[in-house]
Amino acid sequence: MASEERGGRGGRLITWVGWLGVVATTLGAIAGLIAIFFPQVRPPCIGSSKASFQNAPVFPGVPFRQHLVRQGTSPADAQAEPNLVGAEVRFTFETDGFRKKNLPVTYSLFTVAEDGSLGPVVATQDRALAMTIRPEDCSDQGSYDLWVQVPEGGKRYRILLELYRDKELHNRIDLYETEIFHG
Amino acid sequence: MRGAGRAGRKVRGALSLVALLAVVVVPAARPAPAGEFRLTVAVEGERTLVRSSPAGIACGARCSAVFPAGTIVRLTLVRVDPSFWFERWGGECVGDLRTCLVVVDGRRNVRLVLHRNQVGFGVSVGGPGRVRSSPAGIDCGVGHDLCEGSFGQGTKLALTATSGAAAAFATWGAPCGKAARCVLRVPAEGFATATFRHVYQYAVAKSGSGQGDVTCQPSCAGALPSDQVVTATATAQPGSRFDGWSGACSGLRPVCRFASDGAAQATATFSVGEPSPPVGAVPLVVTSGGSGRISGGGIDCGSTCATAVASGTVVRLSAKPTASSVFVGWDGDCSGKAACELTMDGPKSVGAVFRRLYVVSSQGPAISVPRAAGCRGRCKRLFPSDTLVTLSAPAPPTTVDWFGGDCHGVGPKCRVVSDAELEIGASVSQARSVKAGLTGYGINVSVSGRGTVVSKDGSIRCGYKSSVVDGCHASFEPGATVELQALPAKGARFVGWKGFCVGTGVCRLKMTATKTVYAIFGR
Repeated sequence: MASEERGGRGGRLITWVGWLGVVATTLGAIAGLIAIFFPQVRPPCIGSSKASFQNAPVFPGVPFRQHLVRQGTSPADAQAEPNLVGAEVRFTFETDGFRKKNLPVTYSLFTVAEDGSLGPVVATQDRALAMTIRPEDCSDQGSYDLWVQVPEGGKRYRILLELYRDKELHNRIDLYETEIFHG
Repeated sequence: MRGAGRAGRKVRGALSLVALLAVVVVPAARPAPAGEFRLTVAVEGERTLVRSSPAGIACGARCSAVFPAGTIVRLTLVRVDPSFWFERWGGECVGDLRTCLVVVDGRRNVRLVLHRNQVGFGVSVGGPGRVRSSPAGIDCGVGHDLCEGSFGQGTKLALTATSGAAAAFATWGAPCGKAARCVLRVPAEGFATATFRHVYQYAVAKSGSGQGDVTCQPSCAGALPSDQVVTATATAQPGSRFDGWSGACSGLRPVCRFASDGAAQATATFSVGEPSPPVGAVPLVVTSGGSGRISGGGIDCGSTCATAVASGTVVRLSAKPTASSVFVGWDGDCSGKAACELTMDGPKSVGAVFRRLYVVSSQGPAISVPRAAGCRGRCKRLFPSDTLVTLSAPAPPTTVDWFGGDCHGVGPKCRVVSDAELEIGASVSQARSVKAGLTGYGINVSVSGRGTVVSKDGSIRCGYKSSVVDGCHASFEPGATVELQALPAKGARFVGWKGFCVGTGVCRLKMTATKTVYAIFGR
């Protein structure tokens, strides 16, 4: 009798496991079909969100038109722009948990004193909006070139890059100070 | 002594005349009347224009004028020659705005500090040749990799094409002409393609026991560029007869034309004996120059290159190229390229000219060969010899960084003549690859004085009363065009834009990068 009961319990267990397998397979198939037919539907990012600049070398003495052509603007279109001379900052960054979020990047241009300490920020280039980036995936990375107008040749400068969570620039995620460079 | 005095007077007289002429002809040399001073402006570039207010200076043409002492002259930089960029004013003016005020309370000299744009100019060389530039900077061809140089926009650049061994210069692409030396003004955006041909050896000979002569145009032996055609004529001497051509020519027509698109030898054979005159029929003889057959009306040349047909018969001849050749056209009593219909109302003589087919293959991630457009990896196509083939990258953002192999150099395209088996390589690059998307570039506005700058879409509203964070910058989609308008406050006036905008009108910015704009308002 007891063995019959045990046998019945074992049979039910097997049935349950079988049903679970069927349900899991069905859910997997549905998820697969959704991924195929609605690729824009994705599960939310898991874990905390963070982002950081990796590096940002500065190349001084870059004419603006040259910068544009390197970005893919045709030389004819670039010719219509003023050929100011400035510095090009080539920065890279990584993001986690910011998929499809617009993240503003700002820059501030500082003069550098003789002793290497930071001087005043160049008026009009204090927390200037450089660009807005939008990570495509939960974990993403990117690199962009930012051209910054440098007011006086020969002086020493440093650029501070900042990455924000919001367009009001209230919530900073990361900042990065470039090396000192000559304008 | 007296003679020396006379000579001295003559010299003094001449000097006085020169001084008088200088005062009359050169306005700058004329002394300003008392209470007036001269203002002189120096500019560069044919199309640069500076005007003064009050009027007097319109430089380019009139760069010097006299103003009453104490006049405040406003100089306005109306336009800058496109080959230059404006850095700032120099001399008695300072700053980098488009306008400058000078108080003429003495002789004043103002200059514009302009810099000539330095632009890149690339060259690609197709085939066995080399291109060098003067001034130096470009030396491009097989074994010479300086294919792009930096030159002042609008300056004179001479490019000289020199063919290699067994080669000849064929043509330039625009903007150069047909001569091997091309002189041009360096454009803002430009490149040149130079194309060379191969030169092939050929010979026309005679053989057999008979006597005969062979004459040729341009000569019976030598070397010719691949686009040329050799005409050989065989004439039997009395007591001999012409038995036909072999080699590059085949057939019995005494005149043979063949293309110099590969090493070639044609031989005319003569034998002893009189030619047998046609009896009761009209003769038709044909000759083929190159690889192909002529058939129709009893002719199948290669093997049967002469026949006799009844007078008045209409014969239809067709030309069949081999797998490695292409029919170019008829010669003699036929013309054009279509099948030839001949009415045999007398002896007829027909020639056909064939050209070789050559393989042009390209190896590159995304290089286009005509008729194989867009093929990725290896493209391979057959072209008749002497075809000008243009190889190019597909549409932007892909660009060719470098052509290699039988094309050499830099530029969006390279042109070769298909007169040999050609193998062309190319390295191409996409526009920068980034993963995280860029959704906008920033515009940053700075206002000095009493006024406001607004964008047409309202996302920028920056002025002396607004908060810098809220209204003085905004992000705009890459490629978008943004219009900014400067609105002076009551009692103020708009002086002008600075930075990425100039002038005093509506500022239009194309969002290709982060841009900063300064608006200056005055009283």
